[in-house]
Amino acid sequence: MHFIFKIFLIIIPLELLIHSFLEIVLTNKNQLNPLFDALLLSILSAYPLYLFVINPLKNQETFQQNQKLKAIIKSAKFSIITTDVLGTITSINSEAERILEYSPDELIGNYSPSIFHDIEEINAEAQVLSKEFNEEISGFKTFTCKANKDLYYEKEWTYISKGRKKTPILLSITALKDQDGTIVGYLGIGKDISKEKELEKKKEEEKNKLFHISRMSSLGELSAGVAHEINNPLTIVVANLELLKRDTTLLESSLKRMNSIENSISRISKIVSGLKKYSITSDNETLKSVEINKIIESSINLVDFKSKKNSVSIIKESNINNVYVFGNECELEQVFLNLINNSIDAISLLNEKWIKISMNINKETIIISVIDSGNGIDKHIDHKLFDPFFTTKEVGKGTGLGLSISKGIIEKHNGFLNLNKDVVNTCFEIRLPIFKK
Amino acid sequence: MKKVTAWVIDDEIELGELFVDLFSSPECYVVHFNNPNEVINALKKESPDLFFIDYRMPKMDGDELAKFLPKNIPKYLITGEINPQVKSEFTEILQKPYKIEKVFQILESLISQNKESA
Repeated sequence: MHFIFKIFLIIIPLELLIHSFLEIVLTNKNQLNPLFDALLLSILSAYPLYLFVINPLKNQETFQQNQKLKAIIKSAKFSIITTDVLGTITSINSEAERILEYSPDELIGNYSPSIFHDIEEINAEAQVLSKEFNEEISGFKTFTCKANKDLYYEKEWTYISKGRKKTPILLSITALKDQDGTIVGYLGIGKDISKEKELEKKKEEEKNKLFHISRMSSLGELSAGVAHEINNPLTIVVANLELLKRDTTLLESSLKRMNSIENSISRISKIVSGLKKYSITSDNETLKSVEINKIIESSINLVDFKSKKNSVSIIKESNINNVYVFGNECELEQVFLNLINNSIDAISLLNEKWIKISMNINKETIIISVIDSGNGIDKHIDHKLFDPFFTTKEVGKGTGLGLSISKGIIEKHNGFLNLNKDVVNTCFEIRLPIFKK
Repeated sequence: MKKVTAWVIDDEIELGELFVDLFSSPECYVVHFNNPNEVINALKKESPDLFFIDYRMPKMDGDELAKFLPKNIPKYLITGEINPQVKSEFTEILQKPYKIEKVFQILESLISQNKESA
């Protein structure tokens, strides 16, 4: 419809021109052409019709359509952000406002989307794209280079809000063009995928947990069988050694070698008795409701000597009393002991030596963090951390079983033991379901 | 003065003999049995002051054997097993490889008790 009226607008002056011309010609002949008259009349009447009746109706329709679009944009559960061609933000919708915690006034006309992006993420993506397109891509172009080429571009990013809250976003970017096809700006539509991510994380954790449990139980079965077989011959060695040492004619050097044998045996037996903990079954053990704060306190007391000897200060950051979990007190204590002991060993040579233990409640879960002044765990070993026999301690000092057993214990209590990589220092996090008495 | 008698029951002969060698002394008489039936038979004639019993033995384990032994005599279970599920009462469960000193301590306290009562 619109198009037809536009044509009319051009035709009318044209027609008038032609008509006038013809009139002059025809008047000379004193002959009026009725066809032209009818045409002229229809054109002349159509124009006001368009101007006064159809156009307002049309405007009304456009207005309503605009309103509809605005409402959709406003209420959409997508972050919708537009920028100009250089990247300055030109509009944001309310979902974007919610995620980013910035008001439209703060952003529009002032900043480019990099203000709420993770610079490292942009740089990493820029490198990938630079390789893909074989050209130098950086900054805002990282977001737009695919859209510029009319390629579909969807990627996960992290939005960082004004309050430094991180939200994972699945973002697709499209170029906005004018009638001539020139790019005038960009449209970024992002979906908050934190719920999906959380679910994914939970699934992953469940999977790992099952994997760990199955590995632990097979190790438990194995170790129960093996331990007996190892301990008997080991006892024979120890006993023989003891008898040999009674020989008073022994040389000093021989005695030294025997002591070295004895030390090695005690290392072997330490590992075997470490394995013992895997095979602890859930039958005939006493499960009861235990106050988690008390367990933490008693663990701290137990390592008091060691921590003082290494001048490590243990700081309990929060005291939440009357939070109970259902389980085995000794086992849980063992977990805390293990974590604190590990921390002391890890930081004993650092200048700054502290361990912070904090408790937080999240709905039905108690979260206990054990953080030490260390600089976190090397990325290339963090996936092996909970593997049985994995240790970074010097030979003979650790069996490499502590964390793996601790994880097993926490999982048996329907909880999780993880390394929290978001913390700069080394942080182990225990989550346990709260037991309601 | 009467010697203290300790019986050690272990199916592994080498271990049993070593036990005898290690702990026999002028004050302590150690006897090794390598199967539980022998012990039950021997009990008909005499009895020791103390039992050291291995847990894992063929046919009858240390826990079962303990049921046939006099209640008033102290029994120590010696085991390489990780966590044996025992039903009988034992004075203590010693983990293999046991600490030699620990066994000496047990024997010595028995010897000194014996001296006092003598």
